[in-house]
Amino acid sequence: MALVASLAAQRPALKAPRGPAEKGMPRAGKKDRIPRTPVDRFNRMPPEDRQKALEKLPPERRKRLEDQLNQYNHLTPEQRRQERLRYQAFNQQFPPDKQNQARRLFRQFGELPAERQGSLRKEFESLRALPDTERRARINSDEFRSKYDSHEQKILRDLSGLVSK
Amino acid sequence: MKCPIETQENAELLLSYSARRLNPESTAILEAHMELCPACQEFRDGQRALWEALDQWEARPVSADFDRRLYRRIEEQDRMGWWARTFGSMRPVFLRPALPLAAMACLVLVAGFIIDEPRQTVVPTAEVPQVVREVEQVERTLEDLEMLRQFNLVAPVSNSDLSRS
Repeated sequence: MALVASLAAQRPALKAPRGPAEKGMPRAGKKDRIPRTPVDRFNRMPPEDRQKALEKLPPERRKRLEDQLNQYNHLTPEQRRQERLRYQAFNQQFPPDKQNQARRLFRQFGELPAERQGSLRKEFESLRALPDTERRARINSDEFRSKYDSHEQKILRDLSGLVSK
Repeated sequence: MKCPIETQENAELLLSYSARRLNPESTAILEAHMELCPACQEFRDGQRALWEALDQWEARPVSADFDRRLYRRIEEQDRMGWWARTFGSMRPVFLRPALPLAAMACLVLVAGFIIDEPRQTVVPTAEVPQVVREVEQVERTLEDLEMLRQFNLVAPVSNSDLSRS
């Protein structure tokens, strides 16, 4: 009897999460859902279709893509959500010509030696935080000109131009 | 990228590429696409053969008295009536040196028709462009994600910002 009574007492507590309290919780509704990226769609393809698509690639390119996919798939759900948010924002905030410009600049950046990439990244971050007039002043300063060669200056100038209001 | 042959949007890219007039960035993008696209590969191979033939073609050395004979012939042409001037150039003797050039011009024209009417001449299998598109889209998305990881180009966004747009 005591056992039956205790089980009966526990039942409402077990059901509680499905009750009104849950309705009030902030759940990701349909309209708040972040659209999936082409990478997510690719990941959701049947394995044999994915394999078929990858087989079309030359070995070196296939390896690079597999490595990148692997890196993406090892992100935590929260990191992946952030990536999707950034990707969607990029597509929404940048018209296609600006997107292509950004990609072009990033490719040029990628060709720089690793140690130069680090300083350019830092410089971009500080330029990004500056108001327009200060940013222009910084780009025209002697220190900026002596620190970066003309190619690096152009990359930074164009990249910061992309994010200026 | 969109297949230049399939979409007709970037058909001139293929011709510029074949003529080695394309900038390095576009060349890299097009070559990456060509690795996957049989139609573009076929076009490239045809154009390559044509350009190799052009490279190997050497004009016969001009004889020492070429100029003298040329000017004499021009004077003779000037003395001829309009009938002879119009149809005189059709004589076989005048056609012979122009034959290799005419043949190459025909090849270039044929290449142009291939671009204008790709569905009638180059018919890749239906599934390949779809797979190619998907893989290229995944590659580009992963590159975009890498770029956005390294450079914070986008203004902070929330899910509700995304759903509003």
